[in-house]
Amino acid sequence: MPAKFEDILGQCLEDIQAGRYSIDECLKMYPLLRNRLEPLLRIALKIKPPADIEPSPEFTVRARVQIMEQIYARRDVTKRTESRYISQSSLIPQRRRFSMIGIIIAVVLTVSGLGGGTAYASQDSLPGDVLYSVKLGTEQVRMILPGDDIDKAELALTFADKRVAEMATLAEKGRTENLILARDKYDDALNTVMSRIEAARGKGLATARVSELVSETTAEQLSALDKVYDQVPAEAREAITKARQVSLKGQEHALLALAQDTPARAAEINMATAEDRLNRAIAVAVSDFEEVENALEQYEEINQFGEEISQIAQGLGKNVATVEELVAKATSRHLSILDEVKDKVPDQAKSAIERARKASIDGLGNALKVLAGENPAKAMELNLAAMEERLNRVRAEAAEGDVEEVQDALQQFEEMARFGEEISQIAQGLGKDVATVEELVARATTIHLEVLSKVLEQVPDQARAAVEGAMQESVKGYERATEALEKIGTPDIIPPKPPIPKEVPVPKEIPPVPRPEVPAGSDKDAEGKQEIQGEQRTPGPPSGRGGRP
Amino acid sequence: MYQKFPDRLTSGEAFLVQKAIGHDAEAFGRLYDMHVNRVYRHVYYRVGNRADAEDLTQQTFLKAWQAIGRYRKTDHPGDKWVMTISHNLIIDFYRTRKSESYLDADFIAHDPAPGPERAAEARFEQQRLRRQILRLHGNEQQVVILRFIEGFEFREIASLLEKKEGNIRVILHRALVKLRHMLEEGNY
Repeated sequence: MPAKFEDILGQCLEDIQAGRYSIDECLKMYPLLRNRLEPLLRIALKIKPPADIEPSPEFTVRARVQIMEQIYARRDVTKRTESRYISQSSLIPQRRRFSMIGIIIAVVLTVSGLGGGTAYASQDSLPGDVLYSVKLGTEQVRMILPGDDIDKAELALTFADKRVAEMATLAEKGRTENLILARDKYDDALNTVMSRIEAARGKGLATARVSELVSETTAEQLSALDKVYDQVPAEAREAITKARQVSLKGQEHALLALAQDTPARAAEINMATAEDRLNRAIAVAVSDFEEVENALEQYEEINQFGEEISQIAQGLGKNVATVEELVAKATSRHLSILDEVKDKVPDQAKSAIERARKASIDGLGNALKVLAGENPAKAMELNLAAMEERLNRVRAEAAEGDVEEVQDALQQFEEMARFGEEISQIAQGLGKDVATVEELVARATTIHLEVLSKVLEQVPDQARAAVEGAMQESVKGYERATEALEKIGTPDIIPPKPPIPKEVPVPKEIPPVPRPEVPAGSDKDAEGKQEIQGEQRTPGPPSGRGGRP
Repeated sequence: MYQKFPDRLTSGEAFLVQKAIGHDAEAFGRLYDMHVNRVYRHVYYRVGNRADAEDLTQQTFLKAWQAIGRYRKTDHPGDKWVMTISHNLIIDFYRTRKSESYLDADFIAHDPAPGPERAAEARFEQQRLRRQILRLHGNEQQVVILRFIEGFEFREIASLLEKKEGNIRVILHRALVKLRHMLEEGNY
């Protein structure tokens, strides 16, 4: 405890101003000093900053212009000393002089609302042009005119759009030496956008709408920059690659803000951007394998960022199931798009595809586990749909005779089978949807085994081990599901196990299960169709007899 | 939730200060936009009239630009650093205009609209307090304003005035005792 009176006074002031204690609570702590402390505390706490005093907008703009003018004028003086032997008329760089005059004219005219030739003409200027600083000057003045932080964020976003358009025009004109300046100004503009959104949040303003707008706009800017990238020569591409990083960072930042309000919408936009990167990879797959790698790297980052949105949703307890379902569906679809990329690109880009596939599967697994905590049956249904997609890939590649791809797809299939095990465990742990989940597994594994049996007949010898391994996984899955169904007293919904080729070692003999009746369509489908058609063949949540516990 | 971003997009003011140190005039312009209101309020509180407040505010930013090359990350944060400059300018201002008194200036010179009675009373109370604060001498006035008007911590004030934190508390105590006597005497 402070010993000196002035320390006690200082401590009390800090505590009261920080809201830790009231005046009375502080005085109770120092009863002997009450008479001295109280009047001083009351006077001190009456002193408040004058909230209603603000500079006039005219002064704010005028002072800014004058300050900038002096800054530029002093720079010219510095340059003059460096050029003392050059004629006086060329001492002050014409470009700088002109641009300052332009700034002043533009500022004055913009503030007065009259427009004006210079300010108007500057609007078409590009980085590196004489009038470009006038253009930026008019934008800065617009930023200090009245409006709240949301208005300013939206305004700065339009400036970011302009910077992207400038990069496109520079590329068209072959002026690639000015791209870096445009990119830096783009970064500045997005930086301002985000600062304003943060400020708005700090003031308690609703930021969901503007955050969504920024998220969507930065995605569009990213696509626009792809086109610029394709236009510029190789040596200028780094500038555009970095500009795209700015777009992605800007979007992430906006999505984090959006996720605080609507995590589902944030996840949806994030997954759409991820998919856009995969489509970009397809678009350049044949022509530019380095760009395929860039797009896939971006995909990985975006996918990983989805985890943060998921965590925000969980932290808020808001939109959790929607977010995870969305991510699970998207990542499963991404695996199919990645198949397409892989089929097109040369070998050099294949390691990037492997990494992207891993990112997809990790994303899928994480989403399913979280979703299982909310809705195990839905999680299992989505997982089985993803597994069937992998089996379709296996079938297609087996028909093509691509052993490596068959093996890869089967490996993914087995990984998803492990997700299934975890979902089952989560369902059992929660005591929720157990019968539904296990019935889904039993039915799906039956179909899987049938399809894999057909594949086994098709594939070359090198791929047989992988197929047999997958069949063993399916058998195990079937076995676990049927055991679980028997345990909970619902053996009547167990589908019959399909025949397994003799050469496939089965870990445990599964006794034939008498089943007079099966869920609608499952047996017929398993016997009748050879081709699995995505989600159409995914066993839906059983109705009627399957029941929920 | 924004702390995840390591790049320029998250750095905001620190990033602008860094660019301004590299003599980026546009970045400095943005710093001006961020702090001009606060600096103006501070100056206005102390000089009490619009013309001088505008003049000193503008000078503050010009001085800041001239001195920005000497700004180090270990100094006060950007806003506090600018406030230090305005604080020193105000001291010079009073030094050169000793004969002039600003204490009676209309503190709410351009109050946009008269509020209800209670708000008017509160403003009157603040105006009365301000007059007494401006009668305090040297460091006492500075400490009161920095602490209660600008919201500086004791350690920040100590660093700004190059004194020990304990001394700042002593000065504040002395200042509050004087304010109490002035107010009790009705010296306003």
